[in-house]
Amino acid sequence: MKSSPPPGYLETAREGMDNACLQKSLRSLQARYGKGALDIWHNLPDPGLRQRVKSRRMQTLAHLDGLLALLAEGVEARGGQVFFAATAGEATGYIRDLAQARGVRRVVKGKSMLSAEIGIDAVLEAEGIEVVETDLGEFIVQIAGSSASHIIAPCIHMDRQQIGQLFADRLGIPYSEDPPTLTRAARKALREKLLTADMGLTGCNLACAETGHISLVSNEGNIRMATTMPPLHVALMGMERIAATLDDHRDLLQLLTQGAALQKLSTYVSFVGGPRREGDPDGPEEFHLVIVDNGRSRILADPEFREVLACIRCGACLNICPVYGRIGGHAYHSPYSGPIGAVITPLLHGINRHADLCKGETLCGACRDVCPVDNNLPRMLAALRHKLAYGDPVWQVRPHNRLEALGFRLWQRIIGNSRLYETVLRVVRTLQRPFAGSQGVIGSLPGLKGGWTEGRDLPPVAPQTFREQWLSTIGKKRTHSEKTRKDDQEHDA
Amino acid sequence: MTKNMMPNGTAFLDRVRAAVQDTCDQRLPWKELLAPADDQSILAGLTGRDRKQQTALLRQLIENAAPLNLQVHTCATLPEAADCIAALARASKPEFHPEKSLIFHDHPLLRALSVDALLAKDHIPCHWTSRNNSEVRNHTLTASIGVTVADWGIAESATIVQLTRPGRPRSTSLVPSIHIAVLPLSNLVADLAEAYALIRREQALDSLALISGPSKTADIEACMVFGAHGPRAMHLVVLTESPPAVNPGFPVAI
Repeated sequence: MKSSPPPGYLETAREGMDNACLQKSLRSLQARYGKGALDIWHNLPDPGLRQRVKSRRMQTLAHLDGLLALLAEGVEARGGQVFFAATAGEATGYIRDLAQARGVRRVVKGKSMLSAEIGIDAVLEAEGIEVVETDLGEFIVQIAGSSASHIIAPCIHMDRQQIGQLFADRLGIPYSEDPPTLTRAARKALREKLLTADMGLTGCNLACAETGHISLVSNEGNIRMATTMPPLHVALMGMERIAATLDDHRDLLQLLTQGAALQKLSTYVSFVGGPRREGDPDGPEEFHLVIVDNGRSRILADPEFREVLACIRCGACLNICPVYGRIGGHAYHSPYSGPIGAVITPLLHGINRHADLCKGETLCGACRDVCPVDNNLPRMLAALRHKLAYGDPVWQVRPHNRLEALGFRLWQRIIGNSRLYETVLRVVRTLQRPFAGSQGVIGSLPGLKGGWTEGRDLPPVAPQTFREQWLSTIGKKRTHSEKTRKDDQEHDA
Repeated sequence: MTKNMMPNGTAFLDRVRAAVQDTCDQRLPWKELLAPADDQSILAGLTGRDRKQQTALLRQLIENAAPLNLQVHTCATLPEAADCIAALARASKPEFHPEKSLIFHDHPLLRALSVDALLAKDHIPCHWTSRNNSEVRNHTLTASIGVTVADWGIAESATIVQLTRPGRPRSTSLVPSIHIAVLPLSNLVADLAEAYALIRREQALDSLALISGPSKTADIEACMVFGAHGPRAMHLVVLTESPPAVNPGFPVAI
């Protein structure tokens, strides 16, 4: 029984590899940011920082219940409202009801992957509410009808010509491919939206339990706009995105901005703790914090995967991963792409459904090297593969390919018996002859075995095994030289 | 723990607790988890920094500001700072509104500058974010320049810290095309650790913003453009001589 295929991993990956513009952008992104983050970690004045922060992250997760309650207490004390949403549906339902109750016609969004995870845009749009992304990259993919392909650089798959044409069509400006001109056009169009919206909807990079704040980082200023100008601010927060103390917050903030964009700090870091206070001249009249579980407590309960909740979503692993670097973000079919996406997406939305993601990664370990909180993503990718191979009742995983499992069991028998192994090799050498191409490699295999050769060539079984080669060449010489040495020794004696 | 916890909150937190309590060996006593940091030693390092040390921090700030396109102006006296701001206003070009105008945080330090008197003959209006001014929002939307006070500056990252206070809206540093912040040198600290220690001292901490330069984006082909949704230019006027409104000994929020 084969598991239900994820939505077009192979096809989208191939499209990504054929997209010259994406390939160029990915190469320069990885050359600069992936390597840059590694350099920063290697030259940290405090080399133990990442390990220490990681162990604090794990302690924080161990106390998540109490810390979330403390955060809620702080926000509520300032007149903010906190809603705990167990599922995506509860979160979107709360926001939809709130928007309806306040007569919201227009929502401006700050970049939030959680908002994409829970699918809030479609829910609001179904009520006739206009939803506008305000991060420039997110705005571009929104009006292009596309989706983000990088956690930090959402429109990395588009070049200035495509964006120029898009703006000419959608914003009615003369065609230009000059980034400053295009940015000014978006600045003008989005300012109007930001200043007239009824609701600002943002994510939360990192809350602080000790002080009862959420904090948001941005370079563009759109998030400060969306949290300051509309009368209503709703922040969506994944329940694990919390620091216990201000000290923890400081360490994580610095790892976040350095891992994401090699910045000491992003241009703006805002702490929001509630609605405007008496006497405050601006800021939202209402502040709602929606804390979302949506599968996270299941991950938290499993010591094998709990570590992934330490992630601060800096995107550094995307900037170094050789697989992401070739296929781009769309193949992951999730707001979370790259190595972190290959672990978190199956855990949140089904291991069988997203089986290709963990199988597609190489386990090379680069993502762990660059991770600011030292998350062992390769270990978790391998654990997911294990579940796919053998099934797992707790995670409701079906073995994804019984035929393949049978094949490997057979192989195990064969390599355990040298006579059988050599016989099989001889047979395969004969059988493979018709398939060997002009380069001496096998370019395609028939039937079910075709999957092996679909995206790569298979080297043929060599004419001789290593042992046979050894015996016929080096082994012979060795025997000869040993004999000579023996003769010499006898002679000396 | 929370007094008015919504019913869904209780069930939610119970589920979270169930997820960790049997499988987690890292649960610490609550007090230990939230043990306060050793702010006292950090704060002690801040008191009585001499002129030489402050000047060294200023040099570091200027160095770190350059790559962020944050322009630092060093002014010894209030009249010098006022001239600096007036010159920036005269040289600026309006962006969203045909006429130039300025909006000032309603703060004694900025009132003491009297930039409005300097700009009167240029017919450039100056507005204040006073609590009784019902036009604050409109003036902010049409202003070409917002002038604010910075509670602290951070040399290491060329950052200013602004606490939201009555009469000091968040939008003044955000909505106008140009942001000018005024910082007394005595309130310049070395790094984020010092700034966080000062933030923690604040009672009834509300919202706050850390700002490091003008707004920017690199979303189109990784090409850096200044002026995304916030100001396209930012200036930091550092007052090297302590003005009367500021306590010279310790960098308290101003």
